[in-house]
Amino acid sequence: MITNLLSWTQYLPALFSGVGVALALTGIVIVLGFFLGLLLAYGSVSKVRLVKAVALVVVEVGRGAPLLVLLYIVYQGLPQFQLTPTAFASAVIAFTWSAGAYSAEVIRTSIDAVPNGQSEAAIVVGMNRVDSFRFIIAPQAIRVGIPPLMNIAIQFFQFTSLAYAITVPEIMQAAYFQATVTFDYFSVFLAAAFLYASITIPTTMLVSRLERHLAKHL
Amino acid sequence: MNDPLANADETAPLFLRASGITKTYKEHRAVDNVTLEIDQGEVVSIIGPSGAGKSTFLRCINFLEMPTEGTVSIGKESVAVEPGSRPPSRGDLAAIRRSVGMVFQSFNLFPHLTALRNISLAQERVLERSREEADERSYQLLKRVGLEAKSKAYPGQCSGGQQQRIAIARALALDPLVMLFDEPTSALDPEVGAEVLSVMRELADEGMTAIVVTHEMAFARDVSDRMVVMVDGSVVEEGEPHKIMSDPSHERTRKFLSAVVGR
Repeated sequence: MITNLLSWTQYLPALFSGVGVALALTGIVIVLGFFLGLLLAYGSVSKVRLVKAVALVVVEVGRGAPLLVLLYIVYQGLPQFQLTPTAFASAVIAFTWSAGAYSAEVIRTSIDAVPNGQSEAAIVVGMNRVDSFRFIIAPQAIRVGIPPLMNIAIQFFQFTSLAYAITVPEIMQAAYFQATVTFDYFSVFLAAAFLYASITIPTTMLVSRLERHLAKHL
Repeated sequence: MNDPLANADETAPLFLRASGITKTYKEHRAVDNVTLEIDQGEVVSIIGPSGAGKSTFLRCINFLEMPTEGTVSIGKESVAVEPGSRPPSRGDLAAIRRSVGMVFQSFNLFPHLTALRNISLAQERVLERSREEADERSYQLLKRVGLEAKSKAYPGQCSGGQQQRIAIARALALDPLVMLFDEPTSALDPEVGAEVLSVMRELADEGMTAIVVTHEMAFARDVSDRMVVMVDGSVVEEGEPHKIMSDPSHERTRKFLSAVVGR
């Protein structure tokens, strides 16, 4: 039955086009998600009650609802309101929502992780709040927050496979197409798994190296 | 900002005056109507049992803790806090803080910056000195605390005693009129604490004005010009260190001294 242990590799080229789409989707979502996360983190500690409430609801829904549900809300739900984003745009919106919610939590806890004594030290040397954040708090929070943010990025690269459900031509979509043509499901999806792993495993290793490097002066 | 010194009857120019400082947390009066004056070049030690409000009082002087009530005056600047009235503006607080340096029990150096940058950063951002000027001054200060070799080291690469000496240099870099030391050796081994105390001793000899909250009785006795004993949020005794230590007039002081000196 297994004539050649490496026969599944023949399907890799057919899936490459999906890798580009998955990486593009991940890249856009991570960048947008980070900025949304900053906004939500800032909003969730706002003294304006309405801002705080909105931020908290967006964060809780983004983290609480399954990604697939968010995808369907955007892709299938928005057209009811005469908004018809493309499949790719829908994936960007839904994933950014979720990534933003997770990033907001990482950003908030990273800032909280900087000891109170640091801002006290900045105050007593006369620094104002902006300088204190820019030169003292943010650089330390970034060292704490970068590794978890990168782990979110890795996770969202894997999550892009869900965008298959709304016809985004990413890796899974390409794989499914191949499988329905060849009926070699096992090999085709093995090839897909290999592609995901060949990106996530080195990236994960990179993150743990980076983590050690960043923690050096903390 | 009104200037209480202008219509005060004292003729001697007061350097720092913290008067009627009270800090309450709910029912608890952590600091209860404490007044302290200090002249230029004077070193005052505040001693007393743990929980007496020494550190809280010290932190009220530069408004790291907002006192419930009280006035702090340094030179021409004066900030008053009254219950029920508007809290002082950020600008007023900054004016006081600019004249006051502080050294913490836990050093609080910036871990992501080298020793030199720890000392230079505020000079550049607050005093608007150039990078070269700031670094030059920082290097001189590091030399003064005996750590010029550590200028490129990060705090994590320095011992506790070295970190505290760097923190002292960082505070001095802003040319404060008064230095506040909040139990500067409590987090250190006695041996390492000694190197910090000897730096403080030298600075005192050179005319530094300082308020020191400490449990180092020998240091308090030998270096400070005046000793203040705080118990339960209040000053119970104040005076010449040798006299207080050899002949305390207050029962609580006697109890405290026999506990710490007898060790």
